[in-house]
Amino acid sequence: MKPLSDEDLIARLHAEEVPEPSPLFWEHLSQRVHDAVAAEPIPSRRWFTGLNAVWAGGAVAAIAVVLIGVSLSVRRQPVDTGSAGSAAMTQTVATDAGAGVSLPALDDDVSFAVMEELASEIDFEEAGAAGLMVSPGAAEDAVTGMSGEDQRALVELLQQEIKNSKSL
Amino acid sequence: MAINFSRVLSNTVRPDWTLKVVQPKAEAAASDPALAELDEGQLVAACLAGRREAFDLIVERHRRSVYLLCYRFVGNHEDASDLSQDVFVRAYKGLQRFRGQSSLGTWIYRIGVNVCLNRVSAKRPATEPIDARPHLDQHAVDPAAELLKGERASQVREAISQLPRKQRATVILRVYHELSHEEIAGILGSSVGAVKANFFHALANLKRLLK
Repeated sequence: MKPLSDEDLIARLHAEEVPEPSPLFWEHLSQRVHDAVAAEPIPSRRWFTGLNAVWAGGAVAAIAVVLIGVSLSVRRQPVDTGSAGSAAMTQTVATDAGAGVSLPALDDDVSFAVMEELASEIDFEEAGAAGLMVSPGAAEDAVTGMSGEDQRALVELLQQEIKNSKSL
Repeated sequence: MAINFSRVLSNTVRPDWTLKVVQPKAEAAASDPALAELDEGQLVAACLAGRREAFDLIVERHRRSVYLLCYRFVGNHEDASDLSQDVFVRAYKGLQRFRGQSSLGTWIYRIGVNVCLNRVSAKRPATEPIDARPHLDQHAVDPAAELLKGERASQVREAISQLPRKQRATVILRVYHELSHEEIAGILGSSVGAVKANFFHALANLKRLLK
């Protein structure tokens, strides 16, 4: 038997027609759907569907920056040399630093890798336009707005951080 | 003999009831001129704002294509009718997920295909029972030709029902709904290449089944 060509096959498929239902059926179907839908709650947009990509990206960026900041500040917390118990800790840190294993490398840190990946997808221009980035000069403005006592405390903190970074 | 109707009518007792033609609610909403002017995006927005009657218009615009799609999958009126209702109810419940990235028709097709594929995988489609088919008219031009046509149609439905799910959906959407490969890819969540391959394999399988 001669095999069907594509054209013959499609023509044969087209020949199979759906029987036309009664004209009344369409209104009946609409009414059935109407009644079924009336029993359903009105669908509404969820709150998060209103967020656009810029705001979502900005929010992720803000969270990433905060988490990275917290992570780094915890790692570089200056050791309180005033207490007796911390002296041993200082010695341990110094020993570890000498051995070259004071802190795990950031590349090996899973949480840092996650944050790095999240931050890499963020368009910082859009985040800046959304007001989520620090504007140029904001740090200077913040420092000049401090009281003299706060400024001295800030200087001490910065000096301590510089010392810590040199010791690492 | 002439009858004086005016006299007859004047002598009749006035009924104590009135005849009132009630328009079905769905039909009434669909004929609302303010709604009828809205495009699909605006109708969806109206539904989400709480105007259920806007959905009646969406149903009216798409009921035929949805019914035909369902019929192609299940092969009988009763199941196609039930599935059509299911498709629209699911569409209503998921309306907040319609983003307008495709046309509303394509989005409803996607729901329809999913509903039908789930149905046919759960239950082998029942084709139209013999007594539900149109009665053969003995006075038709050629009853034998009509009978042959019916048998061939039955063979085609049976062959399509034996295709794997994606191939069946592809053939139905491509041949009977004349959608493009791109539209079918969007509906089935496949690549255009996969749709073309499915269509090619479907035709090959159909040739084998219908030879």
